[in-house]
Amino acid sequence: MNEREIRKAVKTGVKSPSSDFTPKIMEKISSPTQQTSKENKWFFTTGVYACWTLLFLSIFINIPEIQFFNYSIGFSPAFMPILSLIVMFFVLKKCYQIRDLIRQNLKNKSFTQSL
Amino acid sequence: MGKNRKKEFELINSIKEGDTSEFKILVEKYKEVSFSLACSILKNEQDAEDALQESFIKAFNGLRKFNFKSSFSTWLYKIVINTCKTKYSHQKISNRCVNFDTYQRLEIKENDTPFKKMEIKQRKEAVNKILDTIKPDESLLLRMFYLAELSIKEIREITNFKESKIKVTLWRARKSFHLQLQKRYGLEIRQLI
Repeated sequence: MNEREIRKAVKTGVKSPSSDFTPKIMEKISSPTQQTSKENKWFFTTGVYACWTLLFLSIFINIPEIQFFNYSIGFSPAFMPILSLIVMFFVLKKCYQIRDLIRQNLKNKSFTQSL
Repeated sequence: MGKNRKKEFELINSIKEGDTSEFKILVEKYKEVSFSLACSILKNEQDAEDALQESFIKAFNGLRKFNFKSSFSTWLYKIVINTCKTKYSHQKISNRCVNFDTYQRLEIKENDTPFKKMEIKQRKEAVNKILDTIKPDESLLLRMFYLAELSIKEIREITNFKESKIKVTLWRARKSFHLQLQKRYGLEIRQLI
């Protein structure tokens, strides 16, 4: 019994999964829910953090001038609108990303089905 | 870095960038060896296929975390083996070693056609019967070392076994394989290939 013989013998016994194994996997990974769920989770987590930040600011900070512990911070009247615009931009960007991802996934799904 | 490995890394990068259809190439390339490894642990083809499906989806979802420190095959086999072990422990199967008697239908009698003249399919079944009969660890290591062609270092990385344990188990596995072949078919390995 030598190494080469065993190697050949073990290789003879390579097993194969069912013929529809690969299409099944591709269908699962290409489904929009599979990929967008992670993106959605990320999006909502970020959204929640943004809301908490705004809530925190609205409770403790008086715009345009605030007394934060022993420090006095002066904000421009434009601060809140700018902040809101930044958040809005971020949210919209995420929405576009998710829309693109769904489109890409649908394209991949139709590609997999056509194979 | 080898040409194949470089090509594989490019493929992985393209999947990471969003071309999910390329993942099909990786599934096709690794499904057979991964399936054989899964069968070594679970000893049941249906369970092995379910575990493998789960493993490939895990690999796809975790591909962003893959940092190219090891080869993709090592990383994937680690996922496959961990998924199978989890499935195995959940099922609480006391003894998954397949009893040779369950293969009555496929039993080859001494007076049958000589082994060497057997069809490839029958030879394949015979090898798998022997691999399913020996201990899961032994058949897993035999398949990892000879089928997946992993080094001892890579096997250690995947299984977390000590190097000495791997070497001893491999030695025992070779012995068991040889003994089963002689016992069941009265043949030497060289007659099998």
